[in-house]
Amino acid sequence: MYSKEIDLLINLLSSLQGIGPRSARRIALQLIAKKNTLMMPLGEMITDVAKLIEKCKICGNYDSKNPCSICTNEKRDENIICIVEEVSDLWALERGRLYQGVYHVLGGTLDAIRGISPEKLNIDYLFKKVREKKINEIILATSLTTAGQTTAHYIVSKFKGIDIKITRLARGLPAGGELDYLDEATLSQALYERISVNKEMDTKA
Amino acid sequence: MIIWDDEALILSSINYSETSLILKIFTKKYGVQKGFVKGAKSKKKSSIFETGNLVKVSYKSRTDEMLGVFSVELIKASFLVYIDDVKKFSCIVSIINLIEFSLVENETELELYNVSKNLIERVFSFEEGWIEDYIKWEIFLLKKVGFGLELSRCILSNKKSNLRYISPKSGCAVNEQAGIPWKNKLLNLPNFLISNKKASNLDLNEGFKITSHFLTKFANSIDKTLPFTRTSFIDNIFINKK
Repeated sequence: MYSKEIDLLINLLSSLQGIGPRSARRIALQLIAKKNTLMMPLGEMITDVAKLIEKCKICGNYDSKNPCSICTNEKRDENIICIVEEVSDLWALERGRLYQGVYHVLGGTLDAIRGISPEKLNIDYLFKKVREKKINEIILATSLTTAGQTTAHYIVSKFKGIDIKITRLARGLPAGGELDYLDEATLSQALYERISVNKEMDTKA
Repeated sequence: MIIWDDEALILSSINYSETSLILKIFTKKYGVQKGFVKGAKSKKKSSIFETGNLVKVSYKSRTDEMLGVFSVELIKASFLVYIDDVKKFSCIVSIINLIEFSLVENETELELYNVSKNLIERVFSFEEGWIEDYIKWEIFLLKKVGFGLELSRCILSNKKSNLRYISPKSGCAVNEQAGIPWKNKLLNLPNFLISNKKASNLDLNEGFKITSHFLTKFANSIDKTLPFTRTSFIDNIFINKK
């Protein structure tokens, strides 16, 4: 039905996560229809990015510079490290534009059954960084899932005896969340972590 | 068409696509089962599929060989509520990982299911003694996988009293007198495993030594390594007790 090259393009596109053969065919058709305005610039861009982008040797982020623009930004507080599972989590936090520290990407979460042990994640380098630099705080920004929390607990246990502030992200109601639709775990966490709203100091009630 | 309904504990899940999962569960009547869950990764549903949650499952499959489809309803999500209690959290993770590690699919384990479910409830209760119960659960699991321990009488003298050791080879209890010649080779048998006495820190340590020894033997027999989460749990118990 299609030429060998188009078939290969569809196969490559469908190997991307979340894109099935049908979506791949649609994308391929769109690209072919907009050959000069979309396909060629996209091809060139992919080639350029493939040549330029590297994994940051300090935090694990992807950037055209190594160390990345976050690690080399002097305005950032390098004494606060936010630990995330994947680069996508780092990008999500960066979209919020609130955090001014640096990051450490673990490269996944611990999983005893699938054999993802601490040695397979970027954990040892984190300890090395903390030991060598004067780090004031590490923020655990792992997912609120069993795997995410197992990883967080493991990191906390390894820092036992080391004088460092360890914090984790707060848990509770999501923006736009209606109480009626929330699961009991989220509701319990939200109640447990409630804060005072009529006093200047935000203390746990 | 194969159709069944059951109650289950969630063991683990693998992402199948952007929206779906392949779920592994430990059911009451059908043992460990795998199935496909459509739309499991939606914001509203994703917390249902966390390890250790108690759920109601409906399963449908065209044939025995085909991976069927699960429809899952949450019964109890107590797990994430206690996520900050590192000892209890790591205990549940250890229970769930050991079940997944030890059991094969499609084999009914009703007794183990009930004991495991009760243990999880006990861990989350405010009653003391849940660590002792965990060790007893590991001994029960060992029995289910063919590494049962015989703690009711001495293998050498046949006496029922003064049981002090356990043989690392046979898993049988040994009386204090009879065990003297092999004292250094035998494992100590803590009292709480053969009576209702409360366990001391040392007793718990001895209990874990016994289960670690036989669980490692079992793991070697199936050419696997024990889940590291079990070691993390034991570390959490003793680090926080010091």
